[in-house]
Amino acid sequence: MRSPLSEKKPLIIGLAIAIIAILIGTIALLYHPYVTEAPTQSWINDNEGDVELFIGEKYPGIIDITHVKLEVNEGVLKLTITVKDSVPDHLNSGEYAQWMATIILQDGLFKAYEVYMEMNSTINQGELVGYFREIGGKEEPCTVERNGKSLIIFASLDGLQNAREIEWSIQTLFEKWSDHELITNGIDYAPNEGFQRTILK
Amino acid sequence: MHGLRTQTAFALIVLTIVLASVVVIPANAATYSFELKAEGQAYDYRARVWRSVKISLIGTGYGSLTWWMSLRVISGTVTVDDQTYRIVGGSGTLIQRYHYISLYIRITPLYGGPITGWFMYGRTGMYYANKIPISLYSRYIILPTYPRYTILYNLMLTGEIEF
Repeated sequence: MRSPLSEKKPLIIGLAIAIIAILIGTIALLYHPYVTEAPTQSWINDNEGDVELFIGEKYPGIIDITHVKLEVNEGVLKLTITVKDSVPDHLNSGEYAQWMATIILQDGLFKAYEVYMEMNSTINQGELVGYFREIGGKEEPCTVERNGKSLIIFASLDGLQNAREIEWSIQTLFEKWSDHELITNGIDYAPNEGFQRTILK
Repeated sequence: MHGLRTQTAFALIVLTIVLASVVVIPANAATYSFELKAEGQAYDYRARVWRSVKISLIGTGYGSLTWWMSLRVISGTVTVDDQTYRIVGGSGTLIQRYHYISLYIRITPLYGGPITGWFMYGRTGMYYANKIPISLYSRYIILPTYPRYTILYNLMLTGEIEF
């Protein structure tokens, strides 16, 4: 004759396995164990001369993206945007330029950011400045560098260290205003459609 | 009796694995067709009047309805007062996790001509019954009017996306 305990044994084992599976699933979800250990690099090459010009006769080469490099190291995102022409120290009166990246961190803590640089002739004497913000959040300043035709921005993004994947895209914008009239307006996208997917090491 | 309990235990394990899969992968990426309709107004400084603006477009989205998806605009129309323009493409991003949307569309006169681009962004509401309410905003939009383009300011639209 079998004891009541031995009869319940399979059920107890089953329940124990189920509880362990739930615990492992929960831990996997909440504490994604993946950590970026090595720097990751990814590139986008963009055609020169593919700026969409909506108003005006010509656009400045500073918004014509040719190459973008994304690097991740120790939770810091470094974006190097290379354009057709060298970016000047200052813009002319009435001019505005922006280089913006949309960054979506996935497979970890889901986060979405806008990381951007801009030059506005009416603010900051038209100097290059950089910011990042979580979508819908408050903008925070970033370190920016300029190296000939390349603009570099560094952003320390929450969630970057635990992310396994980044989806990203770049958009540039140029406006020239004269007496409240828009006389030049153009944009460039990289990649031209959709997002670039980068798997982090 | 013993066999029944073993089966129950096995069923529990299978059920747990299935549930764990659902929890860990909350929303798989997929391709969706969508239709976006929105209307509102924008200000015409030259004429000093508000213009009625209506957008109707179709497209496809790739991603998740609960997290985020990239949007591709296929076609549609924009009507400003009684003038209709054709939408000839565009793109966008719907980050439903943040209730955020950005939308870029290219428009041209109904029977062809120059193309202008509108960049809009805005907020989204809760996904319900295959629909997401949206509001869109743009600092300015450019209409490809002849002989001179028309710029309208402070575009504000409300509407919905249906998947």
